Amino acid sequence: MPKERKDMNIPVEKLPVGQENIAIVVSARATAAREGQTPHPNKKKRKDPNQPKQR
Amino acid sequence: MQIALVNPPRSNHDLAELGPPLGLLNLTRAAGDVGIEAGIVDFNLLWHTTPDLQIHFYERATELLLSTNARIYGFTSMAVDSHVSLELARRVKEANPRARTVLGGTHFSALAERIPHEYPWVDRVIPREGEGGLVDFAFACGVQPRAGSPKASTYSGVDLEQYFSVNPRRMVDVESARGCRFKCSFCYSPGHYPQRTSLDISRLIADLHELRDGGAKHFFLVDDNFLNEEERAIEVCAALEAASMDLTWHCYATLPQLSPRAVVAMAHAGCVAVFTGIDAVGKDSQRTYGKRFANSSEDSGRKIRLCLDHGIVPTCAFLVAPPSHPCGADSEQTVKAALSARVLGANIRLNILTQYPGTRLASDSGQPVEFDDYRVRVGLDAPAVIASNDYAAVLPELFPFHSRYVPSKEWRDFVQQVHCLFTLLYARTDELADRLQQDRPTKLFPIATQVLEEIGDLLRIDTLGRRQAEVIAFDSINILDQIAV
Repeated sequence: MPKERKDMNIPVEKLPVGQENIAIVVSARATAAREGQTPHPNKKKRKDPNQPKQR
Repeated sequence: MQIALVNPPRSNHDLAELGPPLGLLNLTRAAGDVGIEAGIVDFNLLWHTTPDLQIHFYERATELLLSTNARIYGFTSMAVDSHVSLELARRVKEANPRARTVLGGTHFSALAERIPHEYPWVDRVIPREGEGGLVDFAFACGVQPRAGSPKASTYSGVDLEQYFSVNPRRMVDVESARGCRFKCSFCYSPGHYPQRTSLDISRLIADLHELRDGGAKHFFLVDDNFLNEEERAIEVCAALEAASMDLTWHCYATLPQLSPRAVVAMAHAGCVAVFTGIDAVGKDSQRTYGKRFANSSEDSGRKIRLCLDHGIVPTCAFLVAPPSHPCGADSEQTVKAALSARVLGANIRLNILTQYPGTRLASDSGQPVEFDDYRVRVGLDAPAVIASNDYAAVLPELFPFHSRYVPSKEWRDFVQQVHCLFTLLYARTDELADRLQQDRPTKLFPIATQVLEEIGDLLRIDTLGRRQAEVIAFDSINILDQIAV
Protein backbone atom coordinates (compact mmCIF):
# COMPACT_ATOMS: atom_id res chain seq x y z
CA MET A 1 0.00 0.00 0.00
CA PRO A 2 1.49 3.37 -1.01
CA LYS A 3 2.24 5.66 1.92
CA GLU A 4 2.70 8.97 0.15
CA ARG A 5 -0.50 10.77 0.96
CA LYS A 6 -2.80 11.33 3.87
CA ASP A 7 -6.10 13.09 4.21
CA MET A 8 -7.42 11.64 1.00
CA ASN A 9 -10.99 11.23 2.25
CA ILE A 10 -13.53 12.96 0.07
CA PRO A 11 -16.80 14.24 1.60
CA VAL A 12 -19.49 11.71 0.90
CA GLU A 13 -21.78 14.35 -0.58
CA LYS A 14 -19.24 14.84 -3.36
CA LEU A 15 -19.54 11.26 -4.55
CA PRO A 16 -21.67 10.36 -7.55
CA VAL A 17 -24.99 8.63 -6.99
CA GLY A 18 -24.11 5.89 -9.44
CA GLN A 19 -20.72 4.39 -10.04
CA GLU A 20 -21.05 2.32 -13.15
CA ASN A 21 -22.42 4.80 -15.59
CA ILE A 22 -20.39 5.51 -18.64
CA ALA A 23 -19.58 8.89 -17.21
CA ILE A 24 -16.23 9.32 -15.57
CA VAL A 25 -16.25 10.07 -11.89
CA VAL A 26 -14.98 13.58 -11.64
CA SER A 27 -12.56 14.52 -8.95
CA ALA A 28 -14.45 16.17 -6.15
CA ARG A 29 -11.52 18.45 -5.64
CA ALA A 30 -11.54 19.46 -9.27
CA THR A 31 -15.25 20.09 -9.00
CA ALA A 32 -14.75 22.23 -5.94
CA ALA A 33 -12.00 24.16 -7.63
CA ARG A 34 -14.12 24.76 -10.71
CA GLU A 35 -16.93 26.03 -8.55
CA GLY A 36 -14.64 28.41 -6.73
CA GLN A 37 -14.85 26.57 -3.43
CA THR A 38 -12.02 25.97 -1.04
CA PRO A 39 -9.83 23.32 -2.57
CA HIS A 40 -8.85 20.21 -0.71
CA PRO A 41 -6.13 21.04 1.83
CA ASN A 42 -3.79 18.46 0.40
CA LYS A 43 -4.30 19.45 -3.19
CA LYS A 44 -0.94 19.38 -4.86
CA LYS A 45 0.04 22.47 -6.72
CA ARG A 46 -0.04 21.79 -10.42
CA LYS A 47 3.43 21.69 -11.82
CA ASP A 48 4.45 23.48 -14.91
CA PRO A 49 3.94 20.92 -17.66
CA ASN A 50 7.06 22.31 -19.27
CA GLN A 51 9.07 20.83 -16.44
CA PRO A 52 8.45 17.10 -16.40
CA LYS A 53 9.65 15.27 -13.36
CA GLN A 54 13.21 14.09 -13.69
CA ARG A 55 13.79 10.40 -13.04
CA MET B 1 -37.32 16.75 -40.42
CA GLN B 2 -36.82 13.70 -42.60
CA ILE B 3 -34.91 11.65 -40.04
CA ALA B 4 -35.39 11.95 -36.28
CA LEU B 5 -32.49 10.55 -34.29
CA VAL B 6 -33.38 9.64 -30.73
CA ASN B 7 -31.21 9.52 -27.63
CA PRO B 8 -32.88 7.88 -24.58
CA PRO B 9 -32.65 9.38 -21.08
CA ARG B 10 -29.68 8.03 -19.22
CA SER B 11 -28.50 10.38 -16.47
CA ASN B 12 -30.54 11.15 -13.39
CA HIS B 13 -28.44 12.95 -10.78
CA ASP B 14 -24.88 12.66 -12.10
CA LEU B 15 -24.66 15.21 -14.89
CA ALA B 16 -20.93 15.84 -15.16
CA GLU B 17 -20.70 14.10 -18.53
CA LEU B 18 -23.99 15.23 -20.04
CA GLY B 19 -23.52 16.85 -23.41
CA PRO B 20 -24.81 16.77 -26.98
CA PRO B 21 -24.77 13.17 -28.32
CA LEU B 22 -21.76 13.05 -30.64
CA GLY B 23 -22.67 9.79 -32.37
CA LEU B 24 -26.06 11.15 -33.43
CA LEU B 25 -24.51 14.48 -34.43
CA ASN B 26 -22.16 12.61 -36.75
CA LEU B 27 -25.20 10.98 -38.35
CA THR B 28 -26.96 14.32 -38.83
CA ARG B 29 -23.85 15.64 -40.53
CA ALA B 30 -23.56 12.58 -42.80
CA ALA B 31 -27.22 12.97 -43.76
CA GLY B 32 -26.81 16.70 -44.28
CA ASP B 33 -23.85 16.13 -46.57
CA VAL B 34 -26.20 14.41 -49.04
CA GLY B 35 -29.05 16.87 -48.59
CA ILE B 36 -31.14 14.86 -46.12
CA GLU B 37 -32.50 16.76 -43.13
CA ALA B 38 -31.88 14.92 -39.89
CA GLY B 39 -32.49 16.23 -36.38
CA ILE B 40 -31.92 14.96 -32.87
CA VAL B 41 -34.46 14.42 -30.10
CA ASP B 42 -32.27 14.12 -27.04
CA PHE B 43 -34.30 12.74 -24.14
CA ASN B 44 -31.12 12.63 -22.06
CA LEU B 45 -31.33 16.43 -22.08
CA LEU B 46 -35.11 16.79 -22.18
CA TRP B 47 -35.45 14.55 -19.13
CA HIS B 48 -33.94 17.44 -17.14
CA THR B 49 -35.58 20.37 -18.90
CA THR B 50 -39.11 19.00 -19.40
CA PRO B 51 -40.45 17.84 -16.01
CA ASP B 52 -43.54 16.22 -17.53
CA LEU B 53 -41.32 13.64 -19.19
CA GLN B 54 -40.33 12.29 -15.80
CA ILE B 55 -43.96 11.60 -14.96
CA HIS B 56 -45.38 10.25 -18.23
CA PHE B 57 -42.26 9.43 -20.16
CA TYR B 58 -43.43 7.06 -22.88
CA GLU B 59 -46.64 8.97 -23.63
CA ARG B 60 -44.98 12.40 -23.84
CA ALA B 61 -41.90 11.13 -25.62
CA THR B 62 -43.98 9.39 -28.27
CA GLU B 63 -46.07 12.52 -28.81
CA LEU B 64 -42.91 14.55 -29.24
CA LEU B 65 -41.43 12.09 -31.73
CA LEU B 66 -44.62 11.91 -33.77
CA SER B 67 -44.77 15.72 -33.87
CA THR B 68 -41.53 15.76 -35.88
CA ASN B 69 -43.35 14.04 -38.76
CA ALA B 70 -40.16 12.21 -39.59
CA ARG B 71 -40.06 9.59 -42.27
CA ILE B 72 -37.40 7.62 -40.42
CA TYR B 73 -36.82 7.30 -36.68
CA GLY B 74 -33.35 6.22 -35.63
CA PHE B 75 -32.65 5.08 -32.06
CA THR B 76 -29.33 4.62 -30.30
CA SER B 77 -28.49 3.16 -26.91
CA MET B 78 -25.71 2.68 -24.38
CA ALA B 79 -26.94 -0.85 -23.53
CA VAL B 80 -28.55 0.02 -20.19
CA ASP B 81 -31.21 2.09 -21.95
CA SER B 82 -31.86 -0.12 -24.99
CA HIS B 83 -35.34 -1.17 -23.83
CA VAL B 84 -36.41 2.48 -23.87
CA SER B 85 -35.39 2.78 -27.51
CA LEU B 86 -37.19 -0.45 -28.36
CA GLU B 87 -40.38 0.67 -26.62
CA LEU B 88 -40.32 4.12 -28.23
CA ALA B 89 -39.79 2.51 -31.63
CA ARG B 90 -42.75 0.21 -31.00
CA ARG B 91 -45.02 3.09 -30.03
CA VAL B 92 -43.97 5.23 -32.99
CA LYS B 93 -44.55 2.35 -35.37
CA GLU B 94 -47.92 1.59 -33.83
CA ALA B 95 -49.06 5.20 -34.16
CA ASN B 96 -47.57 5.69 -37.62
CA PRO B 97 -47.09 2.37 -39.48
CA ARG B 98 -45.62 4.20 -42.48
CA ALA B 99 -42.69 5.45 -40.41
CA ARG B 100 -39.50 3.43 -40.67
CA THR B 101 -37.57 2.54 -37.56
CA VAL B 102 -33.85 1.89 -37.40
CA LEU B 103 -31.48 1.11 -34.54
CA GLY B 104 -27.74 1.66 -34.22
CA GLY B 105 -24.85 2.08 -31.79
CA THR B 106 -22.60 -0.51 -30.18
CA HIS B 107 -25.23 -2.48 -28.28
CA PHE B 108 -27.83 -2.77 -31.02
CA SER B 109 -25.06 -3.40 -33.50
CA ALA B 110 -23.98 -6.46 -31.50
CA LEU B 111 -27.59 -7.71 -31.62
CA ALA B 112 -28.18 -6.88 -35.28
CA GLU B 113 -29.22 -10.38 -36.27
CA ARG B 114 -31.63 -11.02 -33.41
CA ILE B 115 -33.47 -7.74 -33.07
CA PRO B 116 -35.57 -7.74 -36.26
CA HIS B 117 -36.62 -11.30 -35.43
CA GLU B 118 -37.53 -10.58 -31.81
CA TYR B 119 -38.93 -7.08 -32.33
CA PRO B 120 -40.71 -6.96 -35.69
CA TRP B 121 -41.50 -3.25 -35.47
CA VAL B 122 -37.79 -2.55 -36.02
CA ASP B 123 -37.16 -2.23 -39.74
CA ARG B 124 -33.37 -2.27 -39.69
CA VAL B 125 -30.36 -2.44 -37.41
CA ILE B 126 -27.32 -0.69 -38.79
CA PRO B 127 -24.21 -2.47 -37.58
CA ARG B 128 -20.96 -0.77 -36.63
CA GLU B 129 -20.32 2.81 -37.76
CA GLY B 130 -23.66 4.17 -38.88
CA GLU B 131 -23.01 7.15 -41.12
CA GLY B 132 -23.02 5.31 -44.44
CA GLY B 133 -25.65 2.80 -43.41
CA LEU B 134 -28.14 5.43 -42.36
CA VAL B 135 -27.83 7.39 -45.58
CA ASP B 136 -28.19 4.19 -47.64
CA PHE B 137 -31.25 3.21 -45.62
CA ALA B 138 -32.81 6.65 -46.11
CA PHE B 139 -32.38 6.46 -49.87
CA ALA B 140 -33.73 2.89 -49.87
CA CYS B 141 -36.81 4.21 -48.04
CA GLY B 142 -37.34 6.77 -50.78
CA VAL B 143 -36.19 9.83 -48.86
CA GLN B 144 -35.42 12.55 -51.37
CA PRO B 145 -32.56 15.01 -50.84
CA ARG B 146 -33.68 18.58 -50.40
CA ALA B 147 -32.04 21.64 -51.85
CA GLY B 148 -29.82 23.47 -49.47
CA SER B 149 -26.34 23.54 -48.15
CA PRO B 150 -24.91 20.74 -46.07
CA LYS B 151 -24.19 21.24 -42.39
CA ALA B 152 -21.19 23.46 -41.83
CA SER B 153 -19.89 21.39 -38.94
CA THR B 154 -20.74 18.54 -36.61
CA TYR B 155 -22.18 20.89 -34.01
CA SER B 156 -23.86 23.48 -36.19
CA GLY B 157 -27.43 24.05 -35.18
CA VAL B 158 -27.00 22.62 -31.68
CA ASP B 159 -28.34 24.79 -28.85
CA LEU B 160 -25.30 24.40 -26.61
CA GLU B 161 -26.67 26.65 -23.90
CA GLN B 162 -29.46 24.17 -23.21
CA TYR B 163 -26.85 21.58 -22.39
CA PHE B 164 -24.67 23.97 -20.43
CA SER B 165 -27.67 24.99 -18.33
CA VAL B 166 -27.93 21.37 -17.17
CA ASN B 167 -24.20 20.65 -17.01
CA PRO B 168 -22.31 23.73 -15.79
CA ARG B 169 -19.01 22.13 -16.77
CA ARG B 170 -19.95 23.28 -20.28
CA MET B 171 -18.66 20.03 -21.69
CA VAL B 172 -18.85 18.64 -25.21
CA ASP B 173 -17.71 15.41 -26.83
CA VAL B 174 -15.36 15.31 -29.82
CA GLU B 175 -13.31 12.58 -31.47
CA SER B 176 -10.05 12.26 -33.36
CA ALA B 177 -10.07 8.51 -34.06
CA ARG B 178 -12.13 5.34 -33.67
CA GLY B 179 -11.20 1.86 -32.48
CA CYS B 180 -8.65 0.44 -30.06
CA ARG B 181 -5.35 -1.36 -30.56
CA PHE B 182 -6.30 -3.87 -27.85
CA LYS B 183 -8.87 -6.67 -28.12
CA CYS B 184 -10.06 -7.15 -24.56
CA SER B 185 -12.63 -9.93 -24.31
CA PHE B 186 -15.26 -7.92 -22.43
CA CYS B 187 -15.23 -4.82 -24.63
CA TYR B 188 -17.59 -3.83 -27.42
CA SER B 189 -14.92 -1.84 -29.25
CA PRO B 190 -13.09 -4.67 -31.11
CA GLY B 191 -16.33 -5.89 -32.67
CA HIS B 192 -17.72 -2.46 -33.38
CA TYR B 193 -14.53 -1.07 -34.89
CA PRO B 194 -12.69 -3.98 -36.50
CA GLN B 195 -10.58 -1.41 -38.37
CA ARG B 196 -9.14 1.61 -36.62
CA THR B 197 -9.63 4.93 -38.33
CA SER B 198 -8.11 8.35 -37.77
CA LEU B 199 -10.19 11.43 -38.40
CA ASP B 200 -9.11 14.76 -39.81
CA ILE B 201 -7.27 16.79 -37.18
CA SER B 202 -7.98 20.11 -38.86
CA ARG B 203 -11.69 19.35 -38.72
CA LEU B 204 -11.36 18.56 -35.03
CA ILE B 205 -9.67 21.88 -34.41
CA ALA B 206 -12.30 23.73 -36.45
CA ASP B 207 -15.08 22.06 -34.48
CA LEU B 208 -13.39 22.99 -31.21
CA HIS B 209 -13.02 26.63 -32.26
CA GLU B 210 -16.73 26.70 -32.98
CA LEU B 211 -17.52 25.02 -29.67
CA ARG B 212 -15.28 27.38 -27.72
CA ASP B 213 -16.96 30.36 -29.39
CA GLY B 214 -20.28 28.77 -28.42
CA GLY B 215 -19.33 28.77 -24.74
CA ALA B 216 -17.76 25.34 -24.22
CA LYS B 217 -15.06 25.15 -21.54
CA HIS B 218 -14.12 21.50 -21.57
CA PHE B 219 -14.19 18.65 -24.05
CA PHE B 220 -14.12 14.89 -23.81
CA LEU B 221 -12.04 13.31 -26.54
CA VAL B 222 -14.07 10.12 -26.81
CA ASP B 223 -11.63 8.09 -28.93
CA ASP B 224 -11.66 4.49 -27.67
CA ASN B 225 -7.97 4.84 -26.92
CA PHE B 226 -6.34 8.22 -27.50
CA LEU B 227 -2.89 6.61 -27.30
CA ASN B 228 -3.41 3.92 -29.93
CA GLU B 229 -0.45 5.43 -31.76
CA GLU B 230 1.79 7.76 -29.85
CA GLU B 231 2.94 9.75 -32.87
CA ARG B 232 -0.60 10.44 -33.92
CA ALA B 233 -1.56 11.46 -30.37
CA ILE B 234 1.41 13.80 -30.19
CA GLU B 235 0.29 15.31 -33.48
CA VAL B 236 -3.21 15.92 -32.13
CA CYS B 237 -1.78 17.41 -28.93
CA ALA B 238 0.50 19.72 -30.92
CA ALA B 239 -2.46 20.95 -32.95
CA LEU B 240 -4.47 21.54 -29.79
CA GLU B 241 -1.62 23.41 -28.14
CA ALA B 242 -1.02 25.54 -31.23
CA ALA B 243 -4.70 26.44 -31.39
CA SER B 244 -4.51 28.03 -27.89
CA MET B 245 -8.22 27.70 -27.29
CA ASP B 246 -8.12 27.80 -23.49
CA LEU B 247 -10.12 24.59 -23.30
CA THR B 248 -9.43 21.74 -20.90
CA TRP B 249 -10.11 18.16 -21.87
CA HIS B 250 -10.01 14.52 -20.86
CA CYS B 251 -9.79 11.27 -22.78
CA TYR B 252 -9.57 7.49 -22.64
CA ALA B 253 -6.06 6.03 -22.79
CA THR B 254 -4.53 2.67 -21.98
CA LEU B 255 -2.10 2.40 -19.10
CA PRO B 256 0.93 0.95 -20.94
CA GLN B 257 0.78 3.78 -23.47
CA LEU B 258 0.89 6.54 -20.83
CA SER B 259 4.55 7.27 -21.51
CA PRO B 260 6.33 10.37 -20.20
CA ARG B 261 6.42 11.81 -23.73
CA ALA B 262 2.72 11.28 -24.28
CA VAL B 263 1.73 12.62 -20.87
CA VAL B 264 3.83 15.76 -21.28
CA ALA B 265 2.28 16.41 -24.69
CA MET B 266 -1.22 15.87 -23.32
CA ALA B 267 -0.57 18.24 -20.42
CA HIS B 268 0.76 20.90 -22.79
CA ALA B 269 -2.41 20.56 -24.83
CA GLY B 270 -4.73 21.16 -21.87
CA CYS B 271 -5.52 17.62 -20.76
CA VAL B 272 -6.57 17.57 -17.11
CA ALA B 273 -7.88 14.02 -16.69
CA VAL B 274 -7.51 10.61 -18.26
CA PHE B 275 -9.71 7.56 -17.93
CA THR B 276 -7.72 4.35 -17.96
CA GLY B 277 -9.18 0.89 -17.66
CA ILE B 278 -6.82 -1.22 -15.61
CA ASP B 279 -9.73 -3.63 -15.29
CA ALA B 280 -8.01 -6.96 -14.78
CA VAL B 281 -6.10 -7.63 -11.57
CA GLY B 282 -5.08 -11.21 -10.78
CA LYS B 283 -4.10 -14.05 -13.05
CA ASP B 284 -7.58 -15.47 -13.66
CA SER B 285 -8.99 -12.07 -14.55
CA GLN B 286 -6.07 -11.13 -16.77
CA ARG B 287 -6.37 -14.37 -18.70
CA THR B 288 -10.17 -14.29 -18.96
CA TYR B 289 -10.41 -10.61 -19.92
CA GLY B 290 -7.41 -10.73 -22.24
CA LYS B 291 -5.92 -7.71 -20.52
CA ARG B 292 -2.63 -7.63 -18.67
CA PHE B 293 -2.01 -3.99 -17.82
CA ALA B 294 -1.60 -4.34 -14.06
CA ASN B 295 1.61 -6.33 -14.17
CA SER B 296 2.78 -4.81 -10.92
CA SER B 297 1.42 -2.27 -8.50
CA GLU B 298 4.72 -0.40 -8.79
CA ASP B 299 4.26 0.03 -12.52
CA SER B 300 0.66 1.22 -12.13
CA GLY B 301 1.78 3.57 -9.38
CA ARG B 302 4.47 5.07 -11.60
CA LYS B 303 1.93 5.81 -14.29
CA ILE B 304 -0.47 7.38 -11.82
CA ARG B 305 2.26 9.57 -10.36
CA LEU B 306 3.43 10.54 -13.83
CA CYS B 307 -0.03 11.80 -14.71
CA LEU B 308 -0.54 13.62 -11.43
CA ASP B 309 2.88 15.25 -11.67
CA HIS B 310 1.72 16.83 -14.91
CA GLY B 311 -1.66 17.97 -13.67
CA ILE B 312 -3.61 15.09 -15.21
CA VAL B 313 -5.92 13.27 -12.81
CA PRO B 314 -6.24 9.61 -13.78
CA THR B 315 -9.43 7.67 -13.24
CA CYS B 316 -8.53 4.01 -12.93
CA ALA B 317 -11.34 1.56 -13.64
CA PHE B 318 -11.36 -1.96 -12.23
CA LEU B 319 -13.58 -4.90 -13.10
CA VAL B 320 -14.93 -6.99 -10.25
CA ALA B 321 -16.81 -10.27 -10.58
CA PRO B 322 -19.05 -11.98 -8.01
CA PRO B 323 -17.60 -14.86 -5.95
CA SER B 324 -18.84 -17.81 -8.00
CA HIS B 325 -17.68 -16.34 -11.31
CA PRO B 326 -14.33 -17.76 -12.50
CA CYS B 327 -12.76 -14.34 -11.87
CA GLY B 328 -14.49 -13.83 -8.52
CA ALA B 329 -11.46 -14.96 -6.53
CA ASP B 330 -9.58 -11.89 -7.81
CA SER B 331 -12.11 -9.33 -6.57
CA GLU B 332 -10.51 -8.76 -3.16
CA GLN B 333 -7.11 -8.20 -4.75
CA THR B 334 -8.74 -5.93 -7.33
CA VAL B 335 -10.38 -3.69 -4.75
CA LYS B 336 -7.11 -3.44 -2.86
CA ALA B 337 -5.45 -2.31 -6.08
CA ALA B 338 -8.17 0.31 -6.42
CA LEU B 339 -7.46 1.51 -2.88
CA SER B 340 -3.76 1.79 -3.72
CA ALA B 341 -4.67 3.94 -6.73
CA ARG B 342 -6.87 6.15 -4.55
CA VAL B 343 -4.11 6.62 -2.00
CA LEU B 344 -1.84 7.87 -4.75
CA GLY B 345 -4.45 10.43 -5.77
CA ALA B 346 -6.24 8.73 -8.65
CA ASN B 347 -9.97 8.55 -9.03
CA ILE B 348 -11.35 5.04 -9.28
CA ARG B 349 -14.25 3.11 -10.72
CA LEU B 350 -15.39 -0.30 -9.55
CA ASN B 351 -17.34 -1.86 -12.39
CA ILE B 352 -19.22 -5.08 -11.90
CA LEU B 353 -18.38 -7.37 -14.79
CA THR B 354 -20.90 -6.95 -17.61
CA GLN B 355 -21.11 -9.68 -20.22
CA TYR B 356 -22.04 -7.74 -23.34
CA PRO B 357 -23.73 -9.84 -26.03
CA GLY B 358 -21.48 -10.73 -28.91
CA THR B 359 -18.24 -10.09 -27.06
CA ARG B 360 -15.68 -12.86 -26.73
CA LEU B 361 -16.29 -12.92 -22.99
CA ALA B 362 -20.03 -13.52 -23.39
CA SER B 363 -19.51 -16.09 -26.15
CA ASP B 364 -16.99 -18.05 -24.08
CA SER B 365 -18.98 -17.81 -20.89
CA GLY B 366 -21.88 -20.10 -21.65
CA GLN B 367 -23.40 -19.08 -18.34
CA PRO B 368 -27.20 -18.83 -18.36
CA VAL B 369 -28.53 -15.42 -17.38
CA GLU B 370 -31.72 -14.44 -15.62
CA PHE B 371 -33.66 -11.22 -15.42
CA ASP B 372 -32.56 -9.04 -12.49
CA ASP B 373 -32.77 -5.26 -12.26
CA TYR B 374 -31.20 -4.96 -8.81
CA ARG B 375 -27.89 -3.72 -10.14
CA VAL B 376 -29.49 -0.90 -12.13
CA ARG B 377 -31.55 0.18 -9.13
CA VAL B 378 -28.65 0.15 -6.67
CA GLY B 379 -25.44 0.62 -8.62
CA LEU B 380 -26.36 3.01 -11.39
CA ASP B 381 -27.65 6.55 -11.49
CA ALA B 382 -30.60 5.58 -13.61
CA PRO B 383 -33.89 7.36 -14.21
CA ALA B 384 -36.90 5.25 -13.24
CA VAL B 385 -37.69 4.60 -16.89
CA ILE B 386 -34.26 3.01 -17.29
CA ALA B 387 -34.59 0.87 -14.18
CA SER B 388 -37.89 -0.66 -15.33
CA ASN B 389 -37.31 -3.07 -18.20
CA ASP B 390 -40.14 -5.44 -19.13
CA TYR B 391 -38.28 -6.57 -22.24
CA ALA B 392 -35.49 -8.03 -20.11
CA ALA B 393 -37.95 -10.20 -18.23
CA VAL B 394 -38.62 -12.01 -21.52
CA LEU B 395 -35.14 -12.04 -23.09
CA PRO B 396 -32.64 -11.28 -20.34
CA GLU B 397 -29.66 -12.28 -22.47
CA LEU B 398 -30.20 -9.16 -24.62
CA PHE B 399 -30.05 -6.80 -21.64
CA PRO B 400 -26.76 -7.21 -19.77
CA PHE B 401 -27.50 -4.54 -17.19
CA HIS B 402 -30.88 -6.03 -16.37
CA SER B 403 -29.71 -9.60 -15.92
CA ARG B 404 -27.40 -11.62 -13.68
CA TYR B 405 -25.14 -14.57 -14.30
CA VAL B 406 -24.88 -15.83 -10.71
CA PRO B 407 -27.61 -16.78 -8.20
CA SER B 408 -29.92 -14.05 -6.97
CA LYS B 409 -28.71 -13.71 -3.38
CA GLU B 410 -25.06 -13.76 -4.42
CA TRP B 411 -25.78 -11.08 -7.00
CA ARG B 412 -27.61 -8.79 -4.60
CA ASP B 413 -24.99 -9.16 -1.90
CA PHE B 414 -22.23 -8.45 -4.40
CA VAL B 415 -23.90 -5.40 -5.93
CA GLN B 416 -24.31 -3.91 -2.46
CA GLN B 417 -20.77 -4.76 -1.40
CA VAL B 418 -19.33 -3.05 -4.47
CA HIS B 419 -21.53 -0.01 -3.87
CA CYS B 420 -20.34 0.17 -0.27
CA LEU B 421 -16.68 -0.34 -1.14
CA PHE B 422 -16.81 2.42 -3.72
CA THR B 423 -18.17 4.76 -1.05
CA LEU B 424 -15.58 3.77 1.54
CA LEU B 425 -12.64 3.85 -0.86
CA TYR B 426 -13.45 7.51 -1.51
CA ALA B 427 -14.90 8.70 1.80
CA ARG B 428 -12.75 6.63 4.17
CA THR B 429 -9.60 6.22 2.12
CA ASP B 430 -7.26 7.06 4.97
CA GLU B 431 -8.77 4.65 7.48
CA LEU B 432 -8.71 1.74 5.05
CA ALA B 433 -5.20 2.52 3.88
CA ASP B 434 -3.93 2.80 7.43
CA ARG B 435 -5.29 -0.60 8.16
CA LEU B 436 -3.60 -2.19 5.19
CA GLN B 437 -0.34 -0.43 5.93
CA GLN B 438 -0.17 -1.93 9.38
CA ASP B 439 0.65 -5.29 7.87
CA ARG B 440 -2.32 -6.81 9.60
CA PRO B 441 -4.10 -9.03 7.10
CA THR B 442 -7.33 -7.25 6.34
CA LYS B 443 -9.92 -7.98 3.70
CA LEU B 444 -12.13 -5.26 2.31
CA PHE B 445 -15.18 -7.24 1.25
CA PRO B 446 -15.90 -8.40 4.83
CA ILE B 447 -15.80 -4.76 5.91
CA ALA B 448 -18.51 -3.98 3.37
CA THR B 449 -20.52 -6.96 4.57
CA GLN B 450 -20.44 -5.72 8.14
CA VAL B 451 -21.45 -2.18 7.12
CA LEU B 452 -24.34 -3.55 5.10
CA GLU B 453 -25.51 -5.78 7.94
CA GLU B 454 -25.77 -2.63 10.00
CA ILE B 455 -27.93 -0.68 7.54
CA GLY B 456 -29.93 -3.35 5.72
CA ASP B 457 -30.84 -3.57 2.06
CA LEU B 458 -29.62 -0.50 0.16
CA LEU B 459 -32.72 -0.55 -1.99
CA ARG B 460 -34.78 0.47 1.03
CA ILE B 461 -32.74 3.64 1.43
CA ASP B 462 -33.39 6.66 -0.74
CA THR B 463 -30.99 6.83 -3.70
CA LEU B 464 -29.37 10.02 -2.48
CA GLY B 465 -28.91 8.74 1.08
CA ARG B 466 -27.18 5.42 0.48
CA ARG B 467 -23.57 6.54 0.52
CA GLN B 468 -24.13 8.66 3.63
CA ALA B 469 -25.73 5.68 5.37
CA GLU B 470 -22.73 3.53 4.53
CA VAL B 471 -20.28 6.05 5.94
CA ILE B 472 -22.32 6.54 9.11
CA ALA B 473 -22.48 2.79 9.63
CA PHE B 474 -18.77 2.46 8.99
CA ASP B 475 -17.99 5.16 11.52
CA SER B 476 -20.41 3.84 14.12
CA ILE B 477 -18.91 0.42 14.40
CA ASN B 478 -15.31 -0.14 15.07
CA ILE B 479 -14.97 -2.33 12.04
CA LEU B 480 -11.29 -2.01 11.54
CA ASP B 481 -10.52 -3.45 14.93
CA GLN B 482 -12.97 -6.25 14.52
CA ILE B 483 -12.08 -7.55 11.12
CA ALA B 484 -8.76 -9.24 10.79
CA VAL B 485 -8.64 -12.16 8.47
